[in-house]
Amino acid sequence: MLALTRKKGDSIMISDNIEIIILEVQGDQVKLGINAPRSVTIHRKEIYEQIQQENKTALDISKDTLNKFAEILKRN
Amino acid sequence: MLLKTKHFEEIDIDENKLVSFEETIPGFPNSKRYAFLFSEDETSPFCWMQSIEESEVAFALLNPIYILPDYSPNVTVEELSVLGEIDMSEIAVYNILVVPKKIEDISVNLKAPIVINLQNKKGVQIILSDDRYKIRHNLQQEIQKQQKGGE
Repeated sequence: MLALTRKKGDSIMISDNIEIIILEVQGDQVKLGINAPRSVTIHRKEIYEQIQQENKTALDISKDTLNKFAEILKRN
Repeated sequence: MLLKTKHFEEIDIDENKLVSFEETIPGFPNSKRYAFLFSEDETSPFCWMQSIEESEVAFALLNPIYILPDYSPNVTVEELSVLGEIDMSEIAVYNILVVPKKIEDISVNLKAPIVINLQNKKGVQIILSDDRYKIRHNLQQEIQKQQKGGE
């Protein structure tokens, strides 16, 4: 991992088309601005990890329950 | 080609119908191609997404149209650019189901739908910035809500 120390107003370039700017520093909160092509996905890590975890949970499927649910949907 | 599946043993599938996920599904970096398996019952809202590389990786998917006709995530063409050139009328949207033993706990991930470009068979799991939708949307509550609304 590369660690860089930046001040408010400083920037970091990733590749030639992604820029991270330190917009504000207030206490222990840092506001970041990110310039990147819209094709580059950017998410708070917690969200990404939640999706990852939910995908893993999704592997454990109870087929019986799924079939029961399908029956219920048919009846409605 | 013969495909070893998690829930249906070995089946024969058309290799040309596989969907490729260049940006892999979060949590599954080793699965780049999936077979979509549909039920013989055309009215079924469910289908399966089976990994080619990892036979243990298989997801049950919901076609949201059947249960959530108002599900309309705001997705821009740029967000889907990993799928190549997009014709918005040629995309399919599915949501991954979580199906535990208790039927009351069945939920669907509306926050991160699977989007497929039907023209080039490329797929991606998009994480929506749309705040309206949850990672765990309970389906039984949804059905009950709809039933109440109908009365």
